[in-house]
Amino acid sequence: MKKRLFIMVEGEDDIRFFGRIIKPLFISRYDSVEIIPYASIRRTKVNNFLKSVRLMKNDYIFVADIDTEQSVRDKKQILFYHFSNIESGSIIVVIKEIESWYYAGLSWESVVNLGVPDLPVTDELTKENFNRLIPRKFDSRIDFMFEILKYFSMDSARMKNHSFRFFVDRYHLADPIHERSQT
Amino acid sequence: MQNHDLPPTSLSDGTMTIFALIIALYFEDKPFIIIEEPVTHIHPFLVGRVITMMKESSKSKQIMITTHSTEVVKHASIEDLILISRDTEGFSVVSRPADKEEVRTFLENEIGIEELYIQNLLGL
Repeated sequence: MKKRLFIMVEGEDDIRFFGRIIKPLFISRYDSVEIIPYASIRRTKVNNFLKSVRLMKNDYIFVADIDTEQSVRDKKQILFYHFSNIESGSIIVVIKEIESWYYAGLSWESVVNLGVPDLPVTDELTKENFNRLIPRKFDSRIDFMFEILKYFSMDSARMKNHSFRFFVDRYHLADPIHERSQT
Repeated sequence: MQNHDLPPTSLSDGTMTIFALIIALYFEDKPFIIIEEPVTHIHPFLVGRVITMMKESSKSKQIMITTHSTEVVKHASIEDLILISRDTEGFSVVSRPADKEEVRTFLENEIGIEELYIQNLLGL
């Protein structure tokens, strides 16, 4: 039987990010990597979907924004309440929202080229803050996001966002930063 | 206003489509009918009835339809679906979702056919 990875994400901005940046990093480990947006699907169906994936002995990663919860643990508790078939080890909580991961990937060069503020840390960056940072020259938010993804820097993102670094380290998607600095 | 003919141009596209389907399904005696995108312009509420008409008519003739409609997929039987998708090299691949164990597992756990189609999982 083929081994697949299902990455459950909230919406379109997440699909874009995980499709362009994350999926290529997993593709060599699985027969296929499927990105599934769950926000528009009823919770009972999402729960049944997780059950199906587990029955087929496939892997999944469930990605959720921390939103207004105070901690990752609190967010996980809410997910456990909504989805009885979810497993703690498969949950990744984005702090604060996926926009913070996008912006974290802007290296110094990209920040200068785009003419946007350089943020040393994006852990507190919300969707609203992100939208206020979009330069006027971009026709749309999506346009700006695509531009970020074109020049996305994994190293920069890991330095600037703790939840992204946790995700990358958890799934061994890149060499640990402390090892690199020693070479 | 009695005995006035109604010109076809005053009918909606959906109404015209329904008329055409009724003629093709019930008044054509051809043994094999192919219909491309039969539910275009038809209200989703009526799609189930259109599919029922097709199933009824298929007792006496072979009917093949092409569709992108989730409503059609929802009302079809999994055994009646043939999926045409594109592989990584751009070539068309023909498959039967009913033959796939993973698709059956999803269906057994109440993930509907139309949901699998929307999520692009019928071709797993």
